Amino acid sequence: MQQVESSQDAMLAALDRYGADLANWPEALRATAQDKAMRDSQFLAAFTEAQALQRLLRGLPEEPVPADLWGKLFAVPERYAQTSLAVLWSMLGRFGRVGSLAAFAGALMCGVMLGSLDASDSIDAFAAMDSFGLL
Amino acid sequence: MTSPTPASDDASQLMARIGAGDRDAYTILVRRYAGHIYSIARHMCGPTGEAEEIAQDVCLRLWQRPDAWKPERGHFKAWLDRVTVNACLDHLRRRKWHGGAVSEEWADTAPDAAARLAQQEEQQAVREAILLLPPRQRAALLLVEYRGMGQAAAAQNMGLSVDALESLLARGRRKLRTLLAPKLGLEGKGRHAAS
Repeated sequence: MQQVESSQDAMLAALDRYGADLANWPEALRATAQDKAMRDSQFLAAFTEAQALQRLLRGLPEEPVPADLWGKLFAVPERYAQTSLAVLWSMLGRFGRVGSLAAFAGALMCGVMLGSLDASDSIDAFAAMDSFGLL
Repeated sequence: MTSPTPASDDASQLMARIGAGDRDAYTILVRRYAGHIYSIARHMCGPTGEAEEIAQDVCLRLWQRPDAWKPERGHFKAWLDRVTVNACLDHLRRRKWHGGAVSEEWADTAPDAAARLAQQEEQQAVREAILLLPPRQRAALLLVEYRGMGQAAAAQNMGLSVDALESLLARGRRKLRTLLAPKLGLEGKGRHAAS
């Protein structure tokens, strides 16, 4: 098994960097760390200490959500409307990106067409659409 | 017999329903993940009331911007951790600007049984020590050690290189070890015995 020669300081620094879970260590250093833990009492003590620290952090319990907070969280939909943009995007998302772009282009075209009409005139909408070649 | 739906797929369906304005889907999602969100916020910010604000901010985001999560980019919980941690870091930055102090008093919500006392004291010491770390070290350690996230995923979540995340972890672990050694009886065994 190929091992990386490392000084005591370098291995202790690696222990700080990667922690006590050897799965997080670079493969090249794993075997060296295991070997060192078996032969070197100081490194073994440091490794045991790192494991203890990890156990403490992983052992922290989930903090219980306060009762009054539940009410506030559940009330969010009543207090805040979904932004129309988010709803529109979500709806368009169902048709995929190409569909969304096509819908956007269509809406833009309709907007340009309607915007170009003179509202003061009596307008025949069909004639207007015909003039744009849409009929 | 059908196999259980993976949580991520389930979250994906719920987020799609929320996108269509389904309040029931929102309620299910919040019931399932509020504890997850609140725990990270509480460990990041301490018992200051900010954790409650952050939980509301994150849930508001789930409701208003369900399209922000892209299932193809990773697990829902990992994304939720990222949103929560970023919200916490924003709050802590604002707190710094406004000169707020970190309260280290934690409400003891666990039962008073004598058998649990030592464990409670130990957990209390860990919570307090975490709050003494700089926010980014705190976030890195919570993601990797508390949430058990891989270092590459945690780095991506925090918008850092793996190297930068590992530096934060190394500094955080060193400081935690020093802070917790006297309370947890680690002295005399590890490195600080020699230092």
